[in-house]
Formats: sequence, structure tokens, C-alpha cells
Amino acid sequence: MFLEGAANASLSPHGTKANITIVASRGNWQLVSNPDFTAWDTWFCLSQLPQNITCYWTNVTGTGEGLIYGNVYNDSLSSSIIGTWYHYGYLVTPISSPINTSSVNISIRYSFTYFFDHDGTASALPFLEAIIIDPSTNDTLLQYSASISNTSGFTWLNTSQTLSQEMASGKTYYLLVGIYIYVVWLNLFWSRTTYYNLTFYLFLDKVFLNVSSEYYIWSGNAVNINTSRTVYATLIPVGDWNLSSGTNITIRLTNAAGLTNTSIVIVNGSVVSENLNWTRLDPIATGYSSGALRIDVSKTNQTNSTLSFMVKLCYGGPGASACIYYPVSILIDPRGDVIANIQLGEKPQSLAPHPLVQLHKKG
Amino acid sequence: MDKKLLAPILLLATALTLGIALAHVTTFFPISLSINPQNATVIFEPGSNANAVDAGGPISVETGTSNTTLSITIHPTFETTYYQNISIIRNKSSNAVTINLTVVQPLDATQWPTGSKAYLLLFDSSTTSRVYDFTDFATGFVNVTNAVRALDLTQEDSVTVTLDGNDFYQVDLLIYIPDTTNLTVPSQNVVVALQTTS
Repeated sequence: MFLEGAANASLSPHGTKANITIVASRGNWQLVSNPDFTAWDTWFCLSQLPQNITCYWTNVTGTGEGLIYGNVYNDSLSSSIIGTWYHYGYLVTPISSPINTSSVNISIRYSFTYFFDHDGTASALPFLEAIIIDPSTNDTLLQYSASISNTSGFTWLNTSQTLSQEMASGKTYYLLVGIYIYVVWLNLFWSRTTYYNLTFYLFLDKVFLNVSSEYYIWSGNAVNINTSRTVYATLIPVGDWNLSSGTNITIRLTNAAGLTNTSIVIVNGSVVSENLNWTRLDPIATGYSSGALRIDVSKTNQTNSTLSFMVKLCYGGPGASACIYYPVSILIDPRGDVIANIQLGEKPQSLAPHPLVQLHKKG
Repeated sequence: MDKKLLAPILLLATALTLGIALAHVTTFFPISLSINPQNATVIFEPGSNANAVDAGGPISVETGTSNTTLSITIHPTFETTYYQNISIIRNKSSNAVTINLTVVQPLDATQWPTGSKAYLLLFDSSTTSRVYDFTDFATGFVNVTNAVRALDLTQEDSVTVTLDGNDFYQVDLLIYIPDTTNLTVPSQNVVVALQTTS
């Protein structure tokens, strides 16, 4: 089991010790960990019909792309005059914000192609969608839809959106980006068979989700954790932390899905909550991380802050069997103004095309 | 040879022989011994975390047929690996015994990265948790401070403790290997002898 650097992490030779420097900046901050599909994979697939609609990403040329493609077919008998079908597929990634925010900026570079073979009564209406949901409540903070048609090459979608409820800092949300296609048909004859055959390809080249702040902010995986065996992990704060006033930090030990039972929340330089329960980390496919030490920071001033932990990992159960202790120290260094920050992580080990892990939608 | 000469030679040899034998007197006094093998009163048992898993796979804890031998195989990784309650030393008698643990074959710390440590820790039966000390965070070494005794496995160390009747000690292992080298760290065997005195 070992730690892997996200950004600004200095690791020991076998990845069992980490010294991390986080440079927080004012201005825009980009929340998607792998926005151009070239870094450690944090994208999953949500498909209406896994056998017919799937997600795929590739990095063989050195530039990554996410792909949602599908082929769906209908040839059913219906007595309704007007009817609709729908088909969807999304790429899903966990995100968190360093600040409480009620608005986000979305930028998506994509290309889209679809082929719709049908009888005369059917029409296909495709929409590019960006959705933000709270996995702890199933609330939808954002559901943005843009009608699209066949594109020649890549094109950008840029939009600023107000959220239906505030996105809290240091909390995991899921960003879904993908395609939703309505099929509408008009049945002019009683009990007519409605036929269509729909094939579509949505290529995602870049997906950016930005928040903006006058504070010094940073959000992301300070260090990734990979394991070949199931382990139960927690954090042990050690030493004297140097937390200046105006420092707001949420530290979480997350699993591959961005979920956690282990978190420490600091507000204005004081620890206000500690949840040091165990978070389970499992082995995962190449290119993904079993978990991460995730940090969300906002600071009102340029004073440095330092923290140190032991990451405690136990085989066999929470606190059971053999437990190992990995020391992690963090320096938070707020400086400068940044107009835009595009966060790129480390390249994954595997450059071969591979299908993504499937998630099942709740509810 | 003339037969008349042979016969006297033989008789002489016989007479001499008889003479030598008659010079030692042997007396036998019967002593009755009754030897009744008993089961050992101090035995090893697998602890609550015996035969679980660590970084390298199953942890092996074997106590032999009569529970008088203990063989442990572990696979620690870099930094601090702690094995809690890997084995138990139990006194099955009602009388207290004195237990001595001596490192007969220590771990050769020169084969491991500088600063490596290895301890066998004894905890009494009533201790349910461990007190960890993180003051040496800069090196990554995690110490445990509430053990009854700690046996340094890198030295020919020895500890002597009293084990009350019908009581037991928990045995933990603490292994610290600094992650300072890319070189492979070799496996090693450590031998500890346990001596009991009633």
C-alpha cells in the first residue's frame, strides 16, 4: 500500500511518508480533478442501459478524451397517439469546493455525433447536460441542459449557473456530464409499431467547473492512496498545528467514490469538528486511486499554516490485525492572485483504453 | 603344539580370569522412580489477531502440538507496523511463575535501513487498548508506552516478569523500518527463548 503524489507532494522512496505543500491562490479555482482525462482517473460511468450505452476514455495519443456512446433500438407496438422515450449516459466525478458557493462556471469542450434511423413519426432531441447532486441527500443542486446537434469537430459550451442550494465547502458532490436524448413520436394510426434506431457519440475533451473567491483557496487530493488489499483507514492528528486566524480547512480521507467517514473541519483557525471513524479503502482498477487525503482550503490572509497527521491503515478490520502508520505533513502557503487555475495531476500508469467502472443511480 | 602343554595354559587363563572377577563386589539397591509427564503449565496460544493478514498476506502464528513452541511469521512494511495481541503466554497453574524472555538470535539491524527497530511487547490481561506516542513524528516512529515490558529484538535483550496463576500476558510486535532507501529489505529470523521458574 502506498501514497501517490497529487500536486506538490514529496514522497519517500516507497510512498509511505509524504510532505505536502499547498499553494492557495485568489481568483478562480477549478474543481474537477481530471478535467482533461489525462490524469489519475476519477471518472465513472452512469448509464441507463449498460449493455447499450457505455462510457470509455482513452489517453493513447497523450491527450485524453472521455466518450459516451450508445446504440438503442425500439420497435414496439403502441396504441398511444403521442409518446416519448429517453436515453442517457453520463460521466460522473466527485468534486468538492473550498468555499461555500451558490454559483459555478461550467466549461465543456465536446463534439457530438448521432445517427437516427426512424420511421416518419419519430424525432430525436439530444441535450448536453451538466448535473450536480449531493450524494448524501440525493438533492440536485444543478441540472443544466443545452440542446445540441451534430458538431463538426470540437466546440465549447460556457455558462454560469446559479445553484438551487448552496454548495458547502469541504463536502463531496457528484458532477455528471453527458447526454440525454428524448425521442418523441406521433402515432397517427391506431396500434402502430414505432421504429427507431439511434446511435450517438459524445466526446468530452475538457470539463471545467470553476468557483471564484477573493480568498486564497485550494481544493483537491493532497495525496492519493493505493492499496492491493482492503484496509480501514483513519487520521490521527499529531504534534502542534500552526493554524492562523482566517484559516478554513476541511481534511477528509476519501474512498474512490469521494465518500468518507473521516474528516476534520477547521474554521477561522480552530478545529470545530473531528470525525475520526474508519473509512474503508479497497483495491481498484489501474488508473484509479483507492482513496485520497482530500483538502479544501480557504484563507483570508497570507499567513502560512502547518498540520501533521498519521494516516493509520489497518488490515482485517477497523483497528484489527496489523496496522501501519504513514506520517503526512502539510504546509498551506497562500500567495498571489491567479486568474484561472487549471489543475492537472499525475499521468496514470496505464495509457491503454479502458472501460470505466459502473455506478448505479440511487432512487 | 603338544596337547599335554595346551591344557595347562587354558586352565591358567581361566584361573586368572576368575581371580580378576572376584576382586570387585557389586551390590544392587533397588530405587523405584515414577515418571509421569504432565502438560506444560505455561503455554502459548494464538492471540486475537493471529492468522489475520498484513501487508504481505496471512500472519502465521503456530504454537505446536503441546503449545510449548511459538512460531510467528509477519510481513511488516515501511514506517511503523504494529501487531496487537498476536499471541498469548498463559499460566495454566494456580501458582505464580517467573517468566524470562531472552533474545537468543537477534535481528541484525545493520541489514535494514539505519534506525530500524523491532520490539516484542508484553501487556497484562486486563489491558484492552494501547497508548501510542507520536512525539518522534519527524522520523515516523510510533512508540507504545503502556506495555508491561518491552524486549528489544535487535539486541540480546532479556526481560523477567511474574505471571500470576491462571493469568496471561498479551504479546504484541512493533516493527519500524524507515522508508529511506530504494533497496530491498531482506527477511530475517529472530529467536527468543522463554524460561519459566515456579
